[in-house]
Amino acid sequence: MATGEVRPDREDVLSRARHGDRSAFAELVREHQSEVYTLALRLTGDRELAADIAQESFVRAWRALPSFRGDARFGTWLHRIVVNTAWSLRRRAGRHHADSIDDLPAAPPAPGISPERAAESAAMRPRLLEALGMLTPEHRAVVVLKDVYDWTHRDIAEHLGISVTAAKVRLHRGRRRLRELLWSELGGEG
Amino acid sequence: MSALCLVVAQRVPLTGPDGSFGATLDAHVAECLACQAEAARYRKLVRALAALADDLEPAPAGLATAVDAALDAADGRRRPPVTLGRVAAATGAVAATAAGVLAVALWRRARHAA
Ligand SMILES: [Zn+2]
Repeated sequence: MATGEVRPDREDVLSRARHGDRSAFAELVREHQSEVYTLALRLTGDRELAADIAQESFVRAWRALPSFRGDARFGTWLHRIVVNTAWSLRRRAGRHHADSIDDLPAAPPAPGISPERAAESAAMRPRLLEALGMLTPEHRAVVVLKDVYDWTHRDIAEHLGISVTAAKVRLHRGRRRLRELLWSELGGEG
Repeated sequence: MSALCLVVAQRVPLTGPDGSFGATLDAHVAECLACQAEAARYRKLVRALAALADDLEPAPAGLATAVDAALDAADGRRRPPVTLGRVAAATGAVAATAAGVLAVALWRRARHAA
């Protein structure tokens, strides 16, 4: 998981940033920028918009930092800001396109699963990202937060401003749509 | 395809990797190759989605600098007298948003020029 847990030697940086130290905050930005941008990109499927969301998320994080109590991991707290920012910027930006699969870098295998399964998931990745881009933004957000980022239905509902039931319905529809779009990759009739 | 297959097809998208469908449906799935295949497709899909979590996209060049510039711009404009309270906070927020929009515009132009 890319939740960006703050290591003990990072706590000092976080503490300084919370007390208004801009250079300490710049360090946190550098440390978390890829993870923030990746989440924004997964949520929107649009690189331009994801860059804007990442920037705005860090600006909002800076403003909210004095109220960060440290009982959540900084990365988790930041992820919530990204989701809220993505949702508010998305309304302004309207409809987005998915990236071409050609400009996606190759995926490293995920740790903790068998090499065969990792290879299977890696082989599916370009088509999976393309299929995610074809979901409605509402379905994609729930699928990404639940299945990629392992959020609870309750957290998803809270941050997207929907009911838990609606979150489950969107997950159900999103996964079904992905199954249709990825029929041959998932084994088809087999 | 039996009526039970249709019930399984409806439930399987929200069933976890080791999820049970309940005694009756589990007994059906144990003997139904179509339902087993359908469950396997969703397991494979959920595994592939979970694998994306370990995958980081490189942030665009200049993101950290753009954040810094946006914060500089917001700092420069957000100096309301503390006694104005909510009005000052609202004014400051508007100024900060304007500064942020300007920084985004400059960054976008820089990215497009690159
Ligand atoms: Zn069946």
